[in-house]
Amino acid sequence: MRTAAECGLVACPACGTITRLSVERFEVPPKCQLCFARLHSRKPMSIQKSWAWLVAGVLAYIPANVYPIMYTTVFGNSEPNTIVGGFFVLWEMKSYPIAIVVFVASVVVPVLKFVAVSYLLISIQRGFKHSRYDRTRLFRLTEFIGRWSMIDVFVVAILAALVQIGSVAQIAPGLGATAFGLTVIFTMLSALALDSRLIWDGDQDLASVNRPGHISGHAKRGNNLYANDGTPLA
Amino acid sequence: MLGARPSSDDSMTRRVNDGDLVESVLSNLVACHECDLLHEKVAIEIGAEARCMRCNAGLYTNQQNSIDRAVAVGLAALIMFVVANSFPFLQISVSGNSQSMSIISAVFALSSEGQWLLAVVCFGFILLFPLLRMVGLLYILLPLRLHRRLPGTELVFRGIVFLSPWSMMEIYLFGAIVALVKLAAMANIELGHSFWAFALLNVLAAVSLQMIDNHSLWELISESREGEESPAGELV
Ligand SMILES: [Zn+2]
Ligand SMILES: [Zn+2]
Repeated sequence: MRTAAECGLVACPACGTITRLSVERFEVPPKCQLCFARLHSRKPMSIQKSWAWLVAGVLAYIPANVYPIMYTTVFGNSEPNTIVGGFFVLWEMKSYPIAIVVFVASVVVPVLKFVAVSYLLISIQRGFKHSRYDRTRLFRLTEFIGRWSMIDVFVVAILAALVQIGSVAQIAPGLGATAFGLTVIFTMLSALALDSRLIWDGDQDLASVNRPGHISGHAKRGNNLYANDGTPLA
Repeated sequence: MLGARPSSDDSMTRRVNDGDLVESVLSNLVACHECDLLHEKVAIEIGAEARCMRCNAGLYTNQQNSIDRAVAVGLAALIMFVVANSFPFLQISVSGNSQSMSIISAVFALSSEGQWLLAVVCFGFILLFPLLRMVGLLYILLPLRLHRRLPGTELVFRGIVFLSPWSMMEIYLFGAIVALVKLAAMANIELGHSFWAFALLNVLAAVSLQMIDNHSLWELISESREGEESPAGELV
């Protein structure tokens, strides 16, 4: 009797209310009595959906790099710009901080996300027992930074809207921008489909009902938890 | 707030099996949304956040939930949204020629060059989803202020939760800064009124959504639901 699932309980994903799963009381799938959200002890088909979106993301990343994300026309000379090319231009302009931001958002983050989500999925499928906490942190990081890759698409959109100066200079978006946008969306869907609770299923280390720790700055997992008055919680 | 209750495996099982006490026991429990570990709710001081023992995810907070403040900030954010979309966002001038754009121009720029799929998606991420979230929050909070509840509150609430990763105003703002730096070397760029309004909007929207945590919000909505039933009963 430790996790909600093991106790026959399920927490609402939207409002957090705990509901007891019982056969006679609920339709399938059961719904939260407070906010009517659908309740699943674990997200259905989590691993399969997450793999499917991830593969779609990797596939979309190929045209994102092959096709130009935008075309720059200066005094009639049109030039295609790819994702990696944009980084080199900024680097040559000596705008190092922005060059690094662009490189991280458009190359490092997507590739790391592919690797991280694949690793998490494989670790769940193989039933890894080690480093559950670190894998949860990796999952959080993936979830948090994934959407920031959209910055590249927005930069292209803003440049295309702003740089429309007659015969002097023009910027137009390319097919690569759409492909890159799809990469970001697909990998976000992949992370959303992945149920992090699966990382912890089968964990045998903790006692029955636990009391939460506090944010006082030194809340750590394990048994070193203290209430605000200094009394140990666990 | 619920106090710490000493409980063992036995006492919990007993209480949960005892029909009438089921709901009170369940409301005293919280499950970690990231690892599913059950915790007993304990009282924490105002401003503190309880965290999961096992994976350190945030479980619940004890903040001073003020509907009035959340409504005020939410309304301010909505006004800023209108302002941010009514003036030029950025202006560029190169050798006598100048050009300005508003926030939505970025969407049109994508659609005019055939990237219409991306244009539709960006319209959602930058304008539609953030707007729906702000309006949705006010749809719940304004009636709650009068201890009422409009139809579809549940749907609106779930919509706000569902849309949160897809609302990307802050990313657009940083995108504008990157674009500025890219152009700064070759053109003269000016920030329009919209830019500042949009920056302020980002702060306000973030603050208004964080003023009330989801669970306290539902406690308030449940109370208003009970309040709705009693006057109707008196009429009959
Ligand atoms: Zn719910
Ligand atoms: Zn946890």
